[in-house]
Amino acid sequence: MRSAAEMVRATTKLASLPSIYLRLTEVTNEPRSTAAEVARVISEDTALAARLLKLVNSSFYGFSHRIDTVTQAVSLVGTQQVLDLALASSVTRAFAGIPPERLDMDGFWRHSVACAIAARHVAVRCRWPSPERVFVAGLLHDIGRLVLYLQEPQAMATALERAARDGRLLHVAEREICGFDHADVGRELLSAWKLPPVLQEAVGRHHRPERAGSHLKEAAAVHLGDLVANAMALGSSGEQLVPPLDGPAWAAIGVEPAFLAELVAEVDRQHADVVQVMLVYDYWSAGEAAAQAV
Amino acid sequence: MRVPIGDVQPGMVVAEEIKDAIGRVLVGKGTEVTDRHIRILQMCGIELLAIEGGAPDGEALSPEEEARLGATVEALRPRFALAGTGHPALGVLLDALARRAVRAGRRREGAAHA
Repeated sequence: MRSAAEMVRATTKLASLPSIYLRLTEVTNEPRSTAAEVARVISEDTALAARLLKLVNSSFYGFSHRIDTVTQAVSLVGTQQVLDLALASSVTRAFAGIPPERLDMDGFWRHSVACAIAARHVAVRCRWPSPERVFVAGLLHDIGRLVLYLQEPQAMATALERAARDGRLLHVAEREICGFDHADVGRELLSAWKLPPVLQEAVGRHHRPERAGSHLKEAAAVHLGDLVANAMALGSSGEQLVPPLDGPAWAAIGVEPAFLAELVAEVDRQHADVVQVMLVYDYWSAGEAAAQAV
Repeated sequence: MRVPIGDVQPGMVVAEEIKDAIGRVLVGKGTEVTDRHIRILQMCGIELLAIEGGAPDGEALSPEEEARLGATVEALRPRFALAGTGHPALGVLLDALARRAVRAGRRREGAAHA
């Protein structure tokens, strides 16, 4: 069995972040960049611009008036938030051309989106400063599983069989077979892509949030998001059971139990919209890019 | 009840005051919401507003549906085989999922009759 780092190296040759994301990172890191400048970079990528406008006009934000320009969207939502949303949309594209054979990609992303919405809602409700960052972490939480399905399909098949046969969690079976699980692989991939440590930790520790150090809250939100997404059975990345609730994660979030009912309602309210905008039905084909350009 | 800002209607009554990033009160507890409040809250990036009152109509279950809830809970319980429902939050989650399943069944029936 190859190491997580070796699998990630083989994967990053196939899947890389689009250059638009890197340019956007540069311009948002520039302390004096304006909303108009950020909007100009986004507008170079017509499809990204269209997605962003769709998202700000959907139930995800629920603004009461229509937002028609990218500049308006950037000033309303904020440049860092737009960067996070661009990242979310970039990653779904990075894997679009290489769907693993044994994985239902549609179900995979539907699960990821459900987790992302729930995790973001935790951040919104607890008034944490960066809900969109938590959203991206939720969207990427099982990305390591894509790498595993791509690089070690046989090992994943065995893990799925064992988990089903013994009624155990899939990540436990992965760890037993590979010596590590999809969360470790995801962390490795995000590190190879040079994404911020908070994302690496929130993704890498979503099954063991107490190991996330100073990023415990973000990891805890993703942990709870994953639990709710599995419980609601909106798509799946292979897991069939609700994972146990981690005590330290629950304590770090610090909400009352009744919040779970609100979380379910919120995911139901946004899921169809966000799925439609973020991904899935257009796999970023050349056809779509051409259609957008006309 | 917390309502997404896009769903807040003029006339609703605020249940918890909302402050901006530097602590200024944007709307106080007990305020009757106007269109202007909604615009200001959106401009300040507020996404949820606590509103007086319970769940909106349509969310509540009829007595017959309440009676079906127990069987729905049992049907969902195998999914919680490892998580258990001992933790109060997971008990709430299982109950919310059962209500959601019953409401989905009601919508399916409605669609079948239509």
